Amino acid sequence: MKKSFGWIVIIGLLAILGLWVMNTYNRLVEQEEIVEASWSQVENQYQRRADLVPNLVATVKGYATHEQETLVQAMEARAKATQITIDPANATPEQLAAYQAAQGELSQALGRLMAVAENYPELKANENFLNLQSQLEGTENRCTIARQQFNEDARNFNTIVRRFPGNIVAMLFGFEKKPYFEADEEAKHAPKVEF
Amino acid sequence: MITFARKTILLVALFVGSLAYAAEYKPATVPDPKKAGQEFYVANPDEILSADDVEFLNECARTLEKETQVEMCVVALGSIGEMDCFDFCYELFQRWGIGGKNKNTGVLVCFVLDSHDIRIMTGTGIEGVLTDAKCSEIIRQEMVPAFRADKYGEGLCLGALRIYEICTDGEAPEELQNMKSVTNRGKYAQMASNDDDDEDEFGTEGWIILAMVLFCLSLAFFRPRAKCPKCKKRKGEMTKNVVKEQATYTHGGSGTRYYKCKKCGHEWSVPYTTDKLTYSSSSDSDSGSSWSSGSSSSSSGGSWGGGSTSGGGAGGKW
Repeated sequence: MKKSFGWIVIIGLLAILGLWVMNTYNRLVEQEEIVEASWSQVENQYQRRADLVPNLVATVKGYATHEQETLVQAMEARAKATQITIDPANATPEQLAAYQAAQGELSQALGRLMAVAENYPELKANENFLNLQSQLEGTENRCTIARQQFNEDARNFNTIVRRFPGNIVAMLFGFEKKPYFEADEEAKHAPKVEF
Repeated sequence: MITFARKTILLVALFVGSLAYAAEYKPATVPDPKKAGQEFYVANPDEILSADDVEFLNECARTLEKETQVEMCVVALGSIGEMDCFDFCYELFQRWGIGGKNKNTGVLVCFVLDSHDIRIMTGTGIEGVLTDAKCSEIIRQEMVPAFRADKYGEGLCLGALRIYEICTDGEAPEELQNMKSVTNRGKYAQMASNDDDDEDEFGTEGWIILAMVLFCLSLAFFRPRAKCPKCKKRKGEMTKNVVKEQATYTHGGSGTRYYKCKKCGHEWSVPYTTDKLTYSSSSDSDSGSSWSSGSSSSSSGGSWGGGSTSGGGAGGKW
């Protein structure tokens, strides 16, 4: 009788272990889905910003005919930024840093464009330009929020992945730590033109 | 023993000191208007808005929610300290959960007096209608000109009216348009385009404060003197006040005041009595309909819908 009792205990323990593994695996999957959703939100907002650029360039071109260089730079930066895509399931910190850098360059090019617009009072009074500017500010704000949200979700995921004993399950099934967006101060405050 | 002069100086100092201090609000400390009831949408703890303005804003928001399920919240604060207005608005929006949980059609209008900030923040569900560009237009065309004319309440009311019209895609109802708070529609935008930036440096508030300070100072110097019984001139000054019995809730108090005449040096005393203390009855004992079981159909009485924002909208400074 003692022998079979021992077996029951072992099977019971294995069952509990199995349940725990299943639970942890499901948590990891759930959290990864959340991270991927946040990532697509980030991409959405950056895409939204990129979509504003041609319109903005066209409006400025109408008034600032001698600012060819700045306009061309803005379009080039936009092209570069839209080319980089990341698959959030396998993203590495280097990939994310490259993505962030490309977006940062677009931010800078836009900043220069807005600074140029300062010198053209007719442009500054143009209703279309003002609307585009406010849309640009709004989109920059949304990008900030989206990045914050992504970082938070990535942090939650990484906590499960790295903590013991969850990290064993993560290793078993191939879940890896997600990269973060680094602090990016100049991107947070959209180029503001004072009237 | 505190002389009259010292008391006045203390009063003046306290008064001036209280002017400098303004309560700083954090997203956690802003009073939620829903606590007073489901039909309240305005947080106005520093009394920046008049009662008429608050009534208009509540009425406007109520009608808007009834027509379109858009929850509009208006917050007018004196100061949020060093916090960035955008961050503040985002946190407040998320904390209160403005807008329906599924539809996410919430709008937060936030006015901060000391940093001259105005921001409209939109929920994800309404940003297609109330776009960033439209929010920016409202701020530029309706609100900022009124704020520059120091008409904060009216500016916010005019802005709220515009928000209503944009969300319902039509004219606001007659009752709203005729309310006192929005009678000067279009006037401030007109004024702004007419006159140059010729601002009054000192401002009306400066004069009022100066007048009050002078008044307090004059009290210190021109004190009413007691009549001397000997030489009949008004030169008596109180030298000390001896309290025999303090007034309590069961009996009154009594004491004697001693005076000395500055002119003839005569000293005399005047006994006095004071009244029994009474319990002050608080005038406003409002419990409100905060967590009452009132409305059961929609959201639980006294709360916002649980919506969220993606940080859209527009902001401005004046």
